[in-house]
Amino acid sequence: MIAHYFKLIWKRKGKNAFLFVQLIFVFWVVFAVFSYGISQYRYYASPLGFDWREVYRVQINFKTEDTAATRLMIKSLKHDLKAMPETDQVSYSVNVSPYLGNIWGNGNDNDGFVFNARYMYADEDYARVWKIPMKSGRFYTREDLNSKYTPVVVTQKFVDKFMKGKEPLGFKFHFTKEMETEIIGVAENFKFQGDFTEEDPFLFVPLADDATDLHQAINVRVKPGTGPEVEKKINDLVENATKNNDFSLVKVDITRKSTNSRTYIPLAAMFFLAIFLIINISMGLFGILRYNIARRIPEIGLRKAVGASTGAVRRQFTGEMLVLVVLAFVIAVIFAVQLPFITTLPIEKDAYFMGIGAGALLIFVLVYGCTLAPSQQAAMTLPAKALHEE
Amino acid sequence: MLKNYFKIAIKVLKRNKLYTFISLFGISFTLMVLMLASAVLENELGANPPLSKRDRILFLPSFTGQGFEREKISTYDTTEVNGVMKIDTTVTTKIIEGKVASNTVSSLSYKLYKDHLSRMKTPELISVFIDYAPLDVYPQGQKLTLNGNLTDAAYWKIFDFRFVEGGPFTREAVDNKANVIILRESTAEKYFGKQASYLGKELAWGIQGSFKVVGVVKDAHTSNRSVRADFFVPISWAGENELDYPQAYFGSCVVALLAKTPADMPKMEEELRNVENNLEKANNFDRYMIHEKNAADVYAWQFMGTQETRKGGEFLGIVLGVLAFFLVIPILNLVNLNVTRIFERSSEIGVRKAFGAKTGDLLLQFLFENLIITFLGGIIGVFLSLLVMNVLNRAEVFGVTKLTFNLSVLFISIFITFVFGILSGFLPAWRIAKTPVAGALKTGKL
Repeated sequence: MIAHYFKLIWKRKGKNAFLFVQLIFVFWVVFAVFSYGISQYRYYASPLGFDWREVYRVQINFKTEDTAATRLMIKSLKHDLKAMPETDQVSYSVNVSPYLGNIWGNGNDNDGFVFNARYMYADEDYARVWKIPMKSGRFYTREDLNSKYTPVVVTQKFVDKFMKGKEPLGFKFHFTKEMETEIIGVAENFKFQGDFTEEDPFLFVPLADDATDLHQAINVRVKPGTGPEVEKKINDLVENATKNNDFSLVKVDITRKSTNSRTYIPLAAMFFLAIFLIINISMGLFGILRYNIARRIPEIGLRKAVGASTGAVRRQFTGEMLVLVVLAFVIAVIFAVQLPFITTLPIEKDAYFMGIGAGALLIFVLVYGCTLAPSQQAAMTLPAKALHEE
Repeated sequence: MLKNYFKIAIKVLKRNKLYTFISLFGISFTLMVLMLASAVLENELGANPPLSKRDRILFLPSFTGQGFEREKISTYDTTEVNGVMKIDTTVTTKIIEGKVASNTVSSLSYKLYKDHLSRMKTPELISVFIDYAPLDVYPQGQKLTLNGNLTDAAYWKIFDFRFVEGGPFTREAVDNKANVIILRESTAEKYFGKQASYLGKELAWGIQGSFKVVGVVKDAHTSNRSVRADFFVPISWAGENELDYPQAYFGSCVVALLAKTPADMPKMEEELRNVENNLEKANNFDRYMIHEKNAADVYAWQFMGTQETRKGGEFLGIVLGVLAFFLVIPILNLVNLNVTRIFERSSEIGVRKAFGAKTGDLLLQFLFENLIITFLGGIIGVFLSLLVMNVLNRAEVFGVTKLTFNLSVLFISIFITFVFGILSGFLPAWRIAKTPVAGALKTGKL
């Protein structure tokens, strides 16, 4: 039966060639769009590990000289910010922070423990400002700093990636040559680079008071329901304390939106284009099929006259089309599956293959849908009428 | 003749509404996408104010200092002096050329501009500016985040901003650290509220005091960071630590060079290589690189590449490649539809051929018909793209960049439409024009 369809397709190869090439291109487009969409969705669906709502962030550059006066100013500024009735929590950190786009990385294999992770310096209130849920242990406090080992908090991803089979809590290692650290807590997640990014292993390292140049960001969580007028208050407090206006104050929500828009604008554009192409193709396909079938009326009439049932005629037309689509799919896939082996794709392999599967399914369904009406029309043809026309 | 073709084309379009709709839908949407893409590229990279002289401008946004690996070589020299062994140790540090140990990339320092770049011979004009100076202001209790650009006087000669009122500040204003400011039209409107004139009004810039508005410029339609600012003040207002960082030639300045002619650009790049080599090596830096970029490179930098690379050409290549790929499917679709449909008309062709029409005549006729339908689609496409542009601009999808449908976009659109019409029409027309007379007359129903 299928061999017979092949013969019919081959007989009309001049007419089918364009359709065939077009289908291959369509497959490639849907593969690309679907796998990109799936990989982005999976990033988006993975948990963030912090809460960005109601957080304001001041990016600041304190004078680099570490003087007692600067330290005092930093301390009292935090105190003043916290004293505002609208404030919930305040924390200092370096300018590695959710949605900021800055990344610090560190890794070594001193003491035989190999790791390579992102990290940040943050003071003891950081987890409270960003509401970072802990999996086990706890976030460091001021008292922990007196210990011989610098307390650090790692993410579960860090444990999974570098500490297979080891108990993370209490584990000691050299973070840098000079700094010996002990893990005292494991945070669930910390996907700080943006909603559409992959989570990297992460470490929180305490921010020392004397590192005034590392006090680069003030994170302020305000109470729910606080209006935008709090911005002016924070602005004035910081300006008064630093005697300087060389800082920027943004609600994290806004940074988040602009960071995310860099992903979803191209994504939306891609989907828009893909949808247009698919509509275009299906309408074209529908038109061509209708026309072709109209031109093959005599053939249908003959088949029916010699006893073919309505179903058989319908099956012939949809079958022919499906064979063509499957052929195009095979050719498209032969090229597509090689891609991950030739170059490094910006998306994960399994997302890529899932994209191929989902895209193929969509096209099959669409093509089948497009053939239904014309085939039905062909199948309903009365043999007498068809033969009479001839 | 053409009038006849036109009449026939319209008749054919009216004959089968479903196919006409399918064709027009495909054509108009495809053309809309191509028009939008060309509008984005035109607005970003076209020779529009303030970047009319874009083909003569070279931006120097970043600068690299590299330190090479060092090897300590100790040589021991033993000599016997009066029966006692004496060891002489000499330690020399050898720099291993080419093996990079440290790499620092940042913007340029004012010192680099003043001592070296401003003395260059090939450029016609040289400007130095700091294009990032964020400022939060609260004009009506509402927060407004502005970005400033601290410029010199030459800046206004390189970049031909259109002034709605007033004019650029002068060299004297820069030298004297005058409290003058130039605002972008939309920024002035946001800060002061809509008014007939903003000249002479004062804007408070934090602890620096209040600044008098001396000029208002039209909004730029490009996202180029060197011209995108909300306000402009003399560069003399920049803090010392912003102009020059403690290390070597790093700072936060950008330098723009204007060549005398576009052909002088390579010469200017060559002179930059000379400047690099003559810089004083200090702070363990052994090699310096100035990274020049043209307008296309600066644009491409947002999407790919690093501070050190120039990707303008590659980026444009990728964009055009993707657009071409995108174009393939609708064209194939249309060709397919046309090839199928055109047999409707075999009888007409048979008759015309029987009466002596040549293949060329028929080819021309069908191409012309296809061009008519393509242009019809093109006109719909223009309206669609205007609509979409309006939506995109309102939603500020491209930030401050506002898409406009100007004359050059129109010409590009007409060109694209024409190419699309020829591409999608040629094969079907050729096929049908070649049909043998007898067969066409036999199968056709008149």
